[in-house]
Amino acid sequence: MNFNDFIESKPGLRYLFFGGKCGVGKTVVAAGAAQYFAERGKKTIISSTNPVHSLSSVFKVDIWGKGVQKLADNLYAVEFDISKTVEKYKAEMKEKLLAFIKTADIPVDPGPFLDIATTNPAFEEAAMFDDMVNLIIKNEFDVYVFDTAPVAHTYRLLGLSKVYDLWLTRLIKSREEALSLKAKLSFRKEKVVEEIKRDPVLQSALETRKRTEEAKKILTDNEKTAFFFVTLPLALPIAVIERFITWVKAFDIPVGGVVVNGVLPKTLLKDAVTSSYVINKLREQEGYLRTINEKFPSLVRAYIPLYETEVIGLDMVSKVANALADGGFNLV
Amino acid sequence: MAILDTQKAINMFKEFGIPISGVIVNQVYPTELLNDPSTPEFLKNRILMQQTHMKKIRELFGDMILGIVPMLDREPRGLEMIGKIASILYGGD
Repeated sequence: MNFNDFIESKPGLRYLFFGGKCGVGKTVVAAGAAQYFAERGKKTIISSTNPVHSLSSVFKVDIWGKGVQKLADNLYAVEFDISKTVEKYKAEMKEKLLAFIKTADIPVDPGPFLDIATTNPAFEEAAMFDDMVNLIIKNEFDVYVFDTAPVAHTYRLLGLSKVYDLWLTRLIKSREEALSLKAKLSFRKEKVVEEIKRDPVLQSALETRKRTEEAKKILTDNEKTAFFFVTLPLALPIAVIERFITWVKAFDIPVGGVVVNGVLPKTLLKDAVTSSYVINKLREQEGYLRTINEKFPSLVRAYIPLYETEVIGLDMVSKVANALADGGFNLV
Repeated sequence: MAILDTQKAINMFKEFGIPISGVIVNQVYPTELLNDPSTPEFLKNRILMQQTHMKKIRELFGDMILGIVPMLDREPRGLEMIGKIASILYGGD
């Protein structure tokens, strides 16, 4: 089934994710998909969860950290400045930790705990995940296209929600136990029960869990969500998405399909080309295209040609949108 | 885009005081292809586009550029191809 047929077979599709190895053109393909929906009258936003922000380069407009920006009719984009979210996190965490230490009567300096809690590598992923969930929950768009970070980041991003959930369940449970003991032991029960209801640690943990649950529900909804894998017709990126697909499946995230980018059109041969360089390249590509079809049978949604110029600016992005719509099956 | 990313990375490394040894440019089309009459227009245009990027790279990174690896006519896999790259980069025997 080509890209067009796939999209038409899922009228409820709203959340599209694009992943793949570094440098395969995820951003370009994601941008093309966003434009595809925008051209069909859907109010569409493309957002990057990539720490190296590339939307600005593809659209040739500096949108970094500027919030949601309109690029064209029905087409919006946002590049989150993660450092802001991380700073906000640190402040919140400090507040909670202090509150926790106060209620638990632990005479300890929270400084080192804060440092440990906020300088671990998952922190940025958590911030990105949060920004992403916020965008979804605000519900201001018809279609959301996420240009995800390279595989390792996305994997941690996906894994995070599971770990988050375990950690939150644990936190909520121990907090409830502690608070109920406190209520039992106190003389003025009513006042303490009131206090417990306002407990900041418990409140924020419950709130966070509600949000991750909502996000998880959306991410695993087969009608609303699809994860696309972008590859080049080369061995390494193919191997990467092969692994990637099994991970995404393990998290119950619906697989949308594979998009092959940077395809040398075989029409190059028809131009009576005798260039051995081109012939070798095409022969190599043919082998990899066969591998792709063997490894991901009936999952290829589109072949995007290698263009004469780099995909930069709306005109080129529209070309990619057309290529997605066309499927490019005649290129190979 | 890769040029921008490299620039960002270099600045980040500098901030952390990590020494930078240099820049290696990968997947550079051999310029001989431009003189080869059998090279299709399509590829020639890509090479010309790349040459403007190379100019930018030279401007930005200058003597930090330690090596240039050509876009070989197939993906470098296996010891033989890796050896080819090694000799291009490090001038093996």
